[in-house]
Amino acid sequence: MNLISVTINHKTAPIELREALYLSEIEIRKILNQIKETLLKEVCILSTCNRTEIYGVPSNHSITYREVQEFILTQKPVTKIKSDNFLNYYSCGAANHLFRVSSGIDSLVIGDQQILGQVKDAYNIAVEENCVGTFLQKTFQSALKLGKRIKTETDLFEGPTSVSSAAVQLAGKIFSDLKKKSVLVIGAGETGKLTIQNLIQKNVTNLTISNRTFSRAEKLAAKYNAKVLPFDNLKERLNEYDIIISATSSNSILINRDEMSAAMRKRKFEPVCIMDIAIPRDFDPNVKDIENIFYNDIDSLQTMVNLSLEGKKALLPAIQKIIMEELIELFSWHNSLQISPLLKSMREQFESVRSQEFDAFKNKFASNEVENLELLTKRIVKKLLHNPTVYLRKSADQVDTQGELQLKIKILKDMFNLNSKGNESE
Amino acid sequence: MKILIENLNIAIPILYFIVFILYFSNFWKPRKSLARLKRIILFLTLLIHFFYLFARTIEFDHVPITNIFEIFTLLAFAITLSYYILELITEVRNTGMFILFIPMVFQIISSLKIVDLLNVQEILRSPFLGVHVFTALAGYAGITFSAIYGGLYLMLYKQIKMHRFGLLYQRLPNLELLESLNYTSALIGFTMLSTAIVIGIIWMPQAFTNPSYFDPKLIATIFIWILYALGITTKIFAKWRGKRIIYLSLAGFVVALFSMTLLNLLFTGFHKFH
Repeated sequence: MNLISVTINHKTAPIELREALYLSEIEIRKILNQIKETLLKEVCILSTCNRTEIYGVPSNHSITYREVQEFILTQKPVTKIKSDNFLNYYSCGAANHLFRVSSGIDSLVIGDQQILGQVKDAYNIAVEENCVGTFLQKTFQSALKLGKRIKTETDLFEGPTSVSSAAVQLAGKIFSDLKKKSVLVIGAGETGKLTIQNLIQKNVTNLTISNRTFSRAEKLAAKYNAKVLPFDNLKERLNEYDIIISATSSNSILINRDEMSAAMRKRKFEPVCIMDIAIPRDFDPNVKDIENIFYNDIDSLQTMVNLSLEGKKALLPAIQKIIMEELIELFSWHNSLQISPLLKSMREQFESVRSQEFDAFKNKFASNEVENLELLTKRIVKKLLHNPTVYLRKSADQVDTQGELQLKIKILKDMFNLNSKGNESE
Repeated sequence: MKILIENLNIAIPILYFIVFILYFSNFWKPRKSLARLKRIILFLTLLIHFFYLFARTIEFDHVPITNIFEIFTLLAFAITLSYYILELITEVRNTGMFILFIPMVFQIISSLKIVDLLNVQEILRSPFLGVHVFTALAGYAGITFSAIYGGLYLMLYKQIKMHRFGLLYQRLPNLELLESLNYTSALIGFTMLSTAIVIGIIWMPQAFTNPSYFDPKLIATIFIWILYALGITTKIFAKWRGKRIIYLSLAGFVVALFSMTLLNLLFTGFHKFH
């Protein structure tokens, strides 16, 4: 399998280098066309905030990862980058790496849901730029199929991967339909923003933002089509919200137990989910003792994330097994591409010998025996070809890391003098 | 036919046990193939159980409601069928283990103790009695569901409050849904039970010459009815939510369980016919 992969990712390089090598879609399209003309006859580029990776089929045998690395660095010069910052893969190693990436187990946070979509986008761009041939098409389609299998056959993409996603998921364990719930986000900082994004993904529409600086709340609310609650009115209107997520930078407690008790009485003890993800905390932790208040702070949410990540790690053997199944399927396909021309040549040569000999000898038989004679010779040839065909197909179904299949193909070609006919797929 | 009924009497509790084990395994280790299999086996069990009840009715020439152990097998069927319908019409998938334990126990007891009565009192062939028993069983199935989902609500409530995000947290549906299942089942159970009581009280003077309104089971049923009426009223009018309502439904279930088992075994009122 003539596939190479050059990658720089969160395991090999610090964020500054990854950022410096990040390629926008316009840059990817430009590089794809240039690299196709010079180095790789098939090529696909994946670039995210955590990785930039090039997958390709070299135009000739002399091209290695070095030329690809040098080419990228000429297009996107980055100082301080060393060859150690790159990982290079070949053949089944490269396919295995792509499969690990698309399955989400090679991500910074294991089970990252976005990566499969990013692989798909990268593949679509390469297709649009006519940089994908039979081989990369099959390889990437296998990678995308693998991602879907992981999604349906395992729980890798279930469970939170960050504190903000844990907060939203926990709210989903209390309420049936988050769409119908009123949500208040206190604080318009980075954490508040991340939480809002997670809420929007869950189709939350009744969203209110409150912030000490009113203009910041207004700005964020405009972006996410949310309402704004003036900070001064916060305490008296707490009872209106089913989910309260607080992430301010306040140095002291904003809401004490009595204020929350009063709010609960006003709402007749309808359940409330409070996610206090501020440090120091915004709510008095004793509010957790009030009936129907589900209070979580950053520690409990982090526990949830850690448990989820541990669970995901426990899935790794099952995921590796699925990756292996897809790799075997890819290799079988690739090997079958190699043996098909050989089998065709063998059949043609055997048939040519048979028909020559048949033509030479058919006059020596009575006319009523000629038909049976032809049938007989055809049967003999078919039986002679049966074992080599089965043998080759079986070899093609196995993962070939040592080039054994190539060796077998060569021996058979030499043995039956098929070299002149060639094996186009090689 | 009788041999077939005897064989089914042995096979059905075994099938219930297999179904329970499948639901139990799938709760601990969710696998899609197992999820499909458990539902197919549950459906087959229901089908065979229905055939068994039908065969008994034909063979012994009366609906199987003449003694407590016949009632148990009917109750097992009613609860299982209700759960199957619930699985079909809702997204609730992982609670079968908790529900199906109950019909399994009822069916095992029934299979061990059931007697085949050929000559039953004429009164037991009345269509009034059929409706009475059907509604009473549906009522009991309803309050069993209500209690189980109430119990699961309390367990999940505690897990979330105490920040324990283990297996129960992961597998159970959300609190709001559990509360709604608890309430809806109680409402259905209450309506059915009310119907059963009304039919029973109207029909009793016609069926018996000297009926006693102090039958222990009747008193217990009225007590259950009051508990549920209280729960439903407070939920509607006083807007009670969550735990308080659920404690009431659990109390109703405990009394119901007491009425169905102990009272039936200890006392001989008009509800004990053989």
